[in-house]
Amino acid sequence: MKSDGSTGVASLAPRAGVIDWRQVRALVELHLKQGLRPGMHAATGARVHPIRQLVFSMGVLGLFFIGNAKACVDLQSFLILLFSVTFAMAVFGAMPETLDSRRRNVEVLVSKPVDSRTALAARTLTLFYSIGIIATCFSVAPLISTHWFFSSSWSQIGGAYLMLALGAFSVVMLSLTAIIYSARWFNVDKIRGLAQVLFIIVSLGMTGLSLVSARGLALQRRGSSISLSSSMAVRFAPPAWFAGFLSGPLDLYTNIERIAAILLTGLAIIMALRLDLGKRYPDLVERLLAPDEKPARVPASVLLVERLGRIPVIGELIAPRQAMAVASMVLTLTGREVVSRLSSLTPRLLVIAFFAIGLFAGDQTISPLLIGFYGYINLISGCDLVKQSPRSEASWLFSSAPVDGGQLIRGARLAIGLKYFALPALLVAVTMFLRHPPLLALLVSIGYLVMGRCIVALTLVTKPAVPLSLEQQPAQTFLGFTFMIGISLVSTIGYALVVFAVDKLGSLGIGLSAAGIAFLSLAGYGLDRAAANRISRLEYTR
Amino acid sequence: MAGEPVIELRNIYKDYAATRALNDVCLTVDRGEVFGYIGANGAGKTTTIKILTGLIKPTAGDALICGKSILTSPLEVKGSIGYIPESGSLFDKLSPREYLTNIGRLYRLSDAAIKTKIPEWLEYFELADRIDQRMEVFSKGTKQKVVWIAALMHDPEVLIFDEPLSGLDVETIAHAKDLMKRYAAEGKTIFYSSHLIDVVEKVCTRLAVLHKGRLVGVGTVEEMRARNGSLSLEESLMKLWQDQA
Repeated sequence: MKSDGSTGVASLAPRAGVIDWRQVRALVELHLKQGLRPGMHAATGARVHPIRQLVFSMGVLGLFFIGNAKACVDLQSFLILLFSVTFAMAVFGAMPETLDSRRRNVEVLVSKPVDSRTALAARTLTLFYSIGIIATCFSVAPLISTHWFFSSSWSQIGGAYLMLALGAFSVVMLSLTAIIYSARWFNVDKIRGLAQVLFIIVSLGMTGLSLVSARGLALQRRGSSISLSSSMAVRFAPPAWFAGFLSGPLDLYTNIERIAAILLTGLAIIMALRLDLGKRYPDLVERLLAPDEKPARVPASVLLVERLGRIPVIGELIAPRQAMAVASMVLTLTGREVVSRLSSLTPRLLVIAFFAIGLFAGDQTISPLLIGFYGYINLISGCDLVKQSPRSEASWLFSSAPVDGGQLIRGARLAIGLKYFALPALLVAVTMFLRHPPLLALLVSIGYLVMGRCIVALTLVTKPAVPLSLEQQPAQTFLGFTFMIGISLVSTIGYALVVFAVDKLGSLGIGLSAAGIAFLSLAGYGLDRAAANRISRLEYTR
Repeated sequence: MAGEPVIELRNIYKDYAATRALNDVCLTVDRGEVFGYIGANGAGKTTTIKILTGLIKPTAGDALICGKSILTSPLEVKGSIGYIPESGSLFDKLSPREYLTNIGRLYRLSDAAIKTKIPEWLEYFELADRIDQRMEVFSKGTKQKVVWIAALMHDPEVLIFDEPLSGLDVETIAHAKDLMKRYAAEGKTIFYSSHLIDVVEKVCTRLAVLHKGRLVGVGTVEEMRARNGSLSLEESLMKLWQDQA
């Protein structure tokens, strides 16, 4: 015992209601290292760098965003648009944790002597770091571009970046508070799910908007510019307050906005450190762990697979028993699992939205291309999603059952086709039939389907994995994003070539196009075989 | 038919990067045996089982089940085994009915057989009333029962168990032990890996002891017990491991 009467051993119990910064540091370190440290890809053994992927994917989205610069009437409008998208991405992107990581976090928090306020402070700091990465990677390129598009000075750009970071933090902190409070009345999983849908809608919608703006830029169109700075409704929202904080005029209205921005930031800091939100945090944790005891309902897509399998003669060809089992498992799990369900929902919504725009607004160029683009995005995400599961270790089943790679591929393809590709393919076909003569529309539609098949096979050859065997990834990788863009370009060129050939060469053009599609189909078959081969050779690595 | 080799491990080596997990493992298990496979944590038990079930490939050597090589005839081998993994993990968003129906399809059982077997087995493990509940709400032991059914429902010739009693309650453990004895009496072969020596002692006819990737002893329970002049199998194995160390 020491002279002061203490034993020299630190007390295990923290003081209630006091933030223990050593614990905060430990928790932040745990979360960040777990989430961001480079790891090994479970199937291929390749090194995975989450930060690098985030930097690339957000950076590319930021580069796309520059397309909007010319479409905005002034710097203020561009900044409001940029701040809005960044805030939305930060708010919705700050939450996509997989079930595994959520459980891990909950276990760490609940089982250790960590005061709830300390836990919340750690969560806030972790969030701030994540938000910082998302906001920085996404906004740096658009902010720098204002130097050329709006003659902004470098100090103005630096100031705008600072306000963007502060604003993103404040908005995320407020949204987190709202989630903690609403956990009393709403299912937290659903709130998180909704946030993920919105995140993908914002990022993909922004890409679509940027493509439209960039097209206008390429065609040297003027006059169809975005003007946000004069809209009262827009200026009532936080992005406008932070966007105009340093660059806005010194009038009364802008000064009120400045005060609002300061109040919002102050409120966020108080909420993070002083308000007794900690009392509510265990509620959130309890709700995260609450089981759902409702009886399971069979998803419609699984019923469809079973009906397909029962069709006389061709049923066994479309859905052989083993492939049907694989597809049923994949469809049931992806249908009941929040991350997969929502990841597939958003591109579908966007496909429908652009189909409606094409149909009712009479857009004959961009909408059909965007339907095709989002269709492929859906397909490529589908290819990733069928390989992932929150219970990836349970995939030992496929490795130990007498199922060859070919059946695994067929099962995966069946699931991907029905769930992720059927709707876009249908809408592409309808769009083509509305736009072109029947024979050309049929050719293009078949070409789209064949291309889809090749994409599935190609993704399985390049990233082979047994269905449901990989840990869930909340975001699309940079490689995946680049692949999507590349595929869309190739597909657009193919589409243009078919239309050109049929238009200029008539029957010969139809023959050439049909031959091209047949060749693509053969290539798809070859890729399928190669993918089956690679999957057969995979080992169970969990 | 007793005396007929059903499981054969032929000079198996397995390397993980610089670590040798299995080192020249040779073993034969005859039909109708309940064969215990014992070793400390990290001895290589699960690696051996993963090789036997085709989850991973050996660096060298071969494993044969019912005379077929897991390397050259993996599908035939996999069709003849039932496997309970150490993790006991399953896709718990599915209900037992959904999970087991699809397992049945993977093992090419007819729809009629699947429909008959699932309720029978769920009844046996007292899970009939939970057939349509998502398994995520099940306790670990209840999930483990479903894993048992998944391993048994296609009536395999060889059962490969890796810590199969993990999480089960006392009553179910008794059921499971009876089941193993019954299967062995029917001429099925059970490869039983565990570090729970008392269970192995009661259930197994013969056993092998693994130490740091090498087999250090094979024999009947009595032979192993008598080997070091010990009263219990546990003491005998402790001595064996100490000698190896």
